[in-house]
Amino acid sequence: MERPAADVPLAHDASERFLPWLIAFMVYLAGLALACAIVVHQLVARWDTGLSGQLTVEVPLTDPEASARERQVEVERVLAVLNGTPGVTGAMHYQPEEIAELLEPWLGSGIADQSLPLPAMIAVTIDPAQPPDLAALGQALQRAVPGTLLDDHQRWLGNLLDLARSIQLIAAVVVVLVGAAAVLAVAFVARAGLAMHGPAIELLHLMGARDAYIARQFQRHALRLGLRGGVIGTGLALATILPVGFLIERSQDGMLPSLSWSLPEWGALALLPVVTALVTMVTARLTVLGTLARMP
Amino acid sequence: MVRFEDVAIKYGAGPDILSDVSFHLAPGSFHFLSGPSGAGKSSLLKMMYLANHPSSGRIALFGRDVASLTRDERALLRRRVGVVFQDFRLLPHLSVAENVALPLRIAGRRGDKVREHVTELLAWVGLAEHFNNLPATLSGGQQQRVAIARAVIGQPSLLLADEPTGNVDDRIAVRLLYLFEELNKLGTTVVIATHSQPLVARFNHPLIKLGDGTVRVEAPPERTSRSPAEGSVA
Repeated sequence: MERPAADVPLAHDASERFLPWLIAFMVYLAGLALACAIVVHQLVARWDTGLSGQLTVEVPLTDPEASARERQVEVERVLAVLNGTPGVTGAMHYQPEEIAELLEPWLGSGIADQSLPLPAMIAVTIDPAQPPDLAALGQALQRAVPGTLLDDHQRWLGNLLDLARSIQLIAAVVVVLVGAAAVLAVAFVARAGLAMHGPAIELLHLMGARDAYIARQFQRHALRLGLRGGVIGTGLALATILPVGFLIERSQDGMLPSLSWSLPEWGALALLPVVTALVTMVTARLTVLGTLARMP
Repeated sequence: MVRFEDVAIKYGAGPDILSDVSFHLAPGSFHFLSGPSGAGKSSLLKMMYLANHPSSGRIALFGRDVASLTRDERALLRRRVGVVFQDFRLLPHLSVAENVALPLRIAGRRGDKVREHVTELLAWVGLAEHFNNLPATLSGGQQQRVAIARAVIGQPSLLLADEPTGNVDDRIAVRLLYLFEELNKLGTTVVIATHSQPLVARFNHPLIKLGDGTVRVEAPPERTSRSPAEGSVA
């Protein structure tokens, strides 16, 4: 009597067994999509901060016959322009061996000896707070050594950002679709429950129960199932994400995103079961109230 | 208390089951409702406890036109009506005590007072030892008494009972009738549908008589005094 059983015996329905698993699988998919979106977001942020404040100047090899001395003079001229520009905080000339090392993964070893017509590369760091006028700088460099290119990485970064944004958009669409499917499933289960327990619900009505009282029975049940499904689904998602993260850490490859998430990222994932339970509860409540209001 | 004006009821596109029904039950009155099977006793009661809408005419309960009520207002009005259903309608997954306490729970009342009240009432209908049992473990007559306890626990202003003595022996039937009379003395308006001529004869109360698709209110069989019901229409 102190903790009475529910008036509508929903806990004995088939929904008690299948709905949490249905929700769990949906939460699993949503969790993976969410993790994917977070990783892409982190990756973009890393590239962005890594590249902002960085320029690359490429001095072309205009005359293949030019001696190393003449090349050096050209590079010095470019370096002089760079160092004389306000906002430029540093300019570092890559030695041919360093360029060869950077290209090694693509072209193989030993290219430094093969006298390939490699351009001279200068890594420039600028003050992000007071960046130099890039257009003017580009022209000045052109005057110093014709054909010199100033690359601020924006085109490359822009393409990458487009890619990242579309991945995030797809992830968001997946989350929305999965959420919509879960809402439909819960609404269907609530409606089936109303039909199955029609006599008990009619009795409660005849004894003076308001629609809200009936709805409370369903929303309490839905909250419980939603929470159970949300916890299982998030657990499954973690069981997938963590091993993948471990494999990435082990490969130690700078190209891959890391899974060293901080609190907000883990928090977003931890919110998943809570949000699932709330969505499930509200869906059940609105479905029941809507269905009852249409009854005579 | 209960006022019917030119009420008719039919189901779907079928013929009228009842028509031209007009009567008024005064507060604190006690009526038997009788008539042959299929005459519309249950239909009439269902309209009184707001389970059926009349196909025409007007019904007022506690001075309010029931057609004008919102769903929530109808729910609150129903809390003042206790119903003993012919088929009991106990919830099979709840214990006897929980079934009896249901109207109080719905009205938002909980706690020791409720438990006390339920215990008292179950003792009164002779089922104290079945407090924690499920309805399925009880006989038909016992279930009926649980249903009666549930109908009266909220101290309703109007008590409607559909064949409440149909499943009990004569001795218990008489005892239940005394219970209803006691409630009536405390101010509850009572309407009891019954087949039992001996009961009607034994308890001197006016009769709402159904037949030929309509309703008459008659004075108690052996008395000539005016019944509390006024204005019968044939």
